[in-house]
Amino acid sequence: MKHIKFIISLLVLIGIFYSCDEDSFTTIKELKLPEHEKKLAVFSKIYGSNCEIFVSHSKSSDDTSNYKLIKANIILRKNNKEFFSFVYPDDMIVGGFISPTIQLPQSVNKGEKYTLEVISDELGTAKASQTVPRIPVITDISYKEKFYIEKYDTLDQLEFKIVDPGNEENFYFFNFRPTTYTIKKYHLYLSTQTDDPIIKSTYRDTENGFIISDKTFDGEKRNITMKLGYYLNSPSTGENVSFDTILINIKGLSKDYYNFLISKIQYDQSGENPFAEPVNIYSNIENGYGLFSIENPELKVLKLK
Amino acid sequence: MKKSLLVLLLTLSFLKIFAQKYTISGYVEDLQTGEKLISAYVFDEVSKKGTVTNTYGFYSITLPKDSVKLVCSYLGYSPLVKIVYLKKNIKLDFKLSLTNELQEIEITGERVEKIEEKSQMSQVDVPVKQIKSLPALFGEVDVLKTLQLLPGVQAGTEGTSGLYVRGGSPDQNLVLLDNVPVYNVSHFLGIFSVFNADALKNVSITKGGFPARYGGRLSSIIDINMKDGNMKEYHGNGSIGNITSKLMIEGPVIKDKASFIVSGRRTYADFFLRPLIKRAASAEGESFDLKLYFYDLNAKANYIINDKNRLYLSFYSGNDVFGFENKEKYKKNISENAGGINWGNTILALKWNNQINPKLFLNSTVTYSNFTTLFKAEYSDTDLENNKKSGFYAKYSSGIKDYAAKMDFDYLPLPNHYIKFGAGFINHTYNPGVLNLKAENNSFILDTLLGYNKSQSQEFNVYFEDDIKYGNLKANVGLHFSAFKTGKKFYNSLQPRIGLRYLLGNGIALKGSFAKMKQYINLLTSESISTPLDLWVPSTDQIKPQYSRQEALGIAKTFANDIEFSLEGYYKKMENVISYRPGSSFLGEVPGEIAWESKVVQGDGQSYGIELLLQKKRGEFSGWIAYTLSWNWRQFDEINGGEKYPFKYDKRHDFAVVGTYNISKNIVFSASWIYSTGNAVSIPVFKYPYKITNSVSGKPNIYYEIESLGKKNSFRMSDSHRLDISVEFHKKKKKWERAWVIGIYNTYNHKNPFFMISDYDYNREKIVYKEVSLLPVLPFISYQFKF
Repeated sequence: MKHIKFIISLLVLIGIFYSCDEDSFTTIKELKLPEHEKKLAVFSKIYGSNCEIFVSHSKSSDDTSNYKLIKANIILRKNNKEFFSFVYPDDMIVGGFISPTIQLPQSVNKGEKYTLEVISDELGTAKASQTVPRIPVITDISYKEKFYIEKYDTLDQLEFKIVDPGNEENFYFFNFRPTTYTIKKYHLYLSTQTDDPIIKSTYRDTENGFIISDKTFDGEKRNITMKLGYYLNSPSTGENVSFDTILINIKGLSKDYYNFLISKIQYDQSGENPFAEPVNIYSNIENGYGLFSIENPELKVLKLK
Repeated sequence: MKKSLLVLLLTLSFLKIFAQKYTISGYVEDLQTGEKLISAYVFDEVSKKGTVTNTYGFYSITLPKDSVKLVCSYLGYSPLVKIVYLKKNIKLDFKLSLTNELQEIEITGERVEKIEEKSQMSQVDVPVKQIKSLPALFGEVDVLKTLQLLPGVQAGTEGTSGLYVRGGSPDQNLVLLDNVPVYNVSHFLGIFSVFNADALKNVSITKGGFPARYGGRLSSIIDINMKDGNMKEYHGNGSIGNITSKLMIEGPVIKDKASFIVSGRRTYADFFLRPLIKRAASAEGESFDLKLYFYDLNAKANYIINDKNRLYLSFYSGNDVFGFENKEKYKKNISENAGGINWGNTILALKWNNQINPKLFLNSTVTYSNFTTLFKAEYSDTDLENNKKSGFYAKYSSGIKDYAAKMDFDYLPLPNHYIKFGAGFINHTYNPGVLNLKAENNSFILDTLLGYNKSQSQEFNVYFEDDIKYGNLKANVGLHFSAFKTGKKFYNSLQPRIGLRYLLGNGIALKGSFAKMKQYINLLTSESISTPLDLWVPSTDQIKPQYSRQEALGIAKTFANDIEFSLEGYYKKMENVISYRPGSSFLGEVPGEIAWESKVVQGDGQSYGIELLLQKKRGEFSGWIAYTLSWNWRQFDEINGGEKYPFKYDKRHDFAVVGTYNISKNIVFSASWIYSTGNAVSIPVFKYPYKITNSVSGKPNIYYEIESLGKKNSFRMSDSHRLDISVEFHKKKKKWERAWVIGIYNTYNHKNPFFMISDYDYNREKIVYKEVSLLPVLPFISYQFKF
């Protein structure tokens, strides 16, 4: 034990010597990513007689070059017959800009099956199919002003029922908008909340809306109760702010679109949650990535006054 | 007449078989302390029959009326021989003395139950003395980290206590402390285990060939028994180390009749840090307090009612505490925030041993086990001018609580049969995560409770097993039946178990085993990181019980009476294993769903491999070499496109060399070197754009990009390897002993990866991947004393 002081000192020195390095805790790992085969990245949505589309490409994660739009022949088939075709992006240039949408010859209807083909000289052909979902039916709409009077806030109540036909999978999206949302120099912001535990977890910031599947109410009427609040983006100068109608925007979604939206919410959330399991966003494009979807919207105008 | 003669002859033969055998029964214990010795070997050199003591030190052997020469032996103790003439059932206890540790014991022939003698395969007993002598992280002796050095048992991530046994996940290990399941086995996020080695008597792990008396988990049984307490004298020991201090005291309440043992362990860094932090914050005009510690408390009492009845009471409580409070005062307002996380186990067990007759022993147990986690965060702001307060408060709690009762019988009718049978019942109560949120400010008040309701389930089991010897063949055959009720759902399972040993020539044993197992409770844990916020949840009508089937084949032999060799191959198939759904964690819900079951997916697992163990338990030098070659797969329909993928802890090679050498009477040197293949990881391999703004000339402005992972777990982190060394300097004083233990963890400072992150390297102008390691070279020192 007479050498113990020497041993202790030596140990401490070893610890200090090795531990003081800036890079004591990290090592760069050279990982060879597998060769990535570029494929078409296609996002297209049809609603009414509008078709939104953009076509680009995938690339390796360590590729820092810019994306580009891919020139492609787009063919839309209805019930296996050619319905509409155009060249992307050439046929979509309007006033020097590429419009995100192109007009179809007619609106889509429930039950019709559409196939999108994207044919590119560079990256081959990508394909996807969708069936137009049914238009949602909503009933028993009621609106009660100043229904929730809480200590620091007053909220209105909007209630309605979604009528679901049985024996098939249906998916819905809904959001709300006052028709007069810009009043003089104020911007009126409508906030929507709900205590419904199933719906509130599906809130999407980008469209201020909610998503629901008919898993829990197949063939039944589903009651939806929303709390609506109004906020001004500019300070009030005392002028009265009011509006007399609310638009209830409800869409029937295809299953693929529903799966995509749910996976996207999870993907966004997992980016902020270190405990979450990693997510691959849903894709329905054959020989490519992305989404081809069809919505069937219904707009209900609710007159308040 | 002929018939009568035949009946008479048969009756006489029957009487001859049973009338001329008598049973010797008793206990084997430590002479100095009175501690009962588990699996001590009692062997009759005349008839060549032997038996082992059970968990309570009880043995029973039925032999022919004759002289018998019983040799009782146990690792680390001098054998004891007793010669008796057997003419009636007798009670015969053995009290063994510790050997001189430096002396090689000449053990000959069948005096010790060798590895090739046992029908049980895939099981390793690790002497607690050896666990305590091995070098350890921060000098903290760790039972579970020692088990990680055995073949077939892998650590998850570097420095943590998680056990992945033959491809199974940590929730598939049944960890028993004095026969009570322990649900959370680690402190400080897995850096230390909850087991204080000073309070323990023995540790064993069974990885396959599970005897029928065990059930409820798929992958391993880790059986840890606490000491009973010294029946003769008061003794104690303690230590002061880098991180914790410990103290253990044991002694008789009534000499040779009742005893107790109490041991405690606590970290103490906060005693020094808290005043310093408070003072520093005060100098800045703030108030700040930090709590960071863990503790364990073990206690046990036992009382010998009479020579046939004995009572035990065991208690364990352990807790991790991390918390802070901060207060800042400004001219117009006061801002306060606080937060913290606590988690811990409490365990209580009451046991009654009853020797019903010389051949039949009963242990009855009632137990209580509770694991809870509590997470809190709060913030408030007080407006001094207007006397208004706003704030936010969140509290998250989860846990599992068990009440259980069981009866276990040991019946030894003949030397060739060791029968065990029994039944048990458990009531589980689950709290799978409740979040209480409160908020108040000028514009709103929130007070809500989110999460899942408490639920209960009941589990029942009954088993029968027989350890049979017939010539060179030894077999342990049994049946385990279990039933589980959860809500309106009822599950049940009949699980056959068989272990075989056939003694070939030259002392080589060929062993094989088959076992079906069923598991009704599950641990929801992230593959990214394991935390105390992992949730224990039951099987339900939507979540089916996990199931496994395992086969193993191997050979075993003892060389030079001291070196045990075993080589085993195994194949394990698992069904209904669970994982979090992509995007899910214990936080939040799956969009559009409310039940916790929606966060979970079930699938299959498959693991197979070969294990080699060479172990020397006695003498100046002791230790082992362990090697595992294994493959480990998972398959879920909702993950990786339904294709099977390597489990995160699929480590192709796992190797450990462990040794302890007594340099002299007072100096002991220990070292361990481990090597393992890196963990499997997923990283994004490609990406594509989702949203673009309008643009011309074909150059889109991307404002949203989607990264995709490609095949799951298709990359590997770097291999891990590490050398740990330690030296103990003992000195015996008049009335006490002391030891300095000095060592180094990760002696050559290898950066063993803990996790991987991506980063942009501006020098190289590309994305690079960095492995982050947690534990560099860490010297440690501790002072130990014994009185």
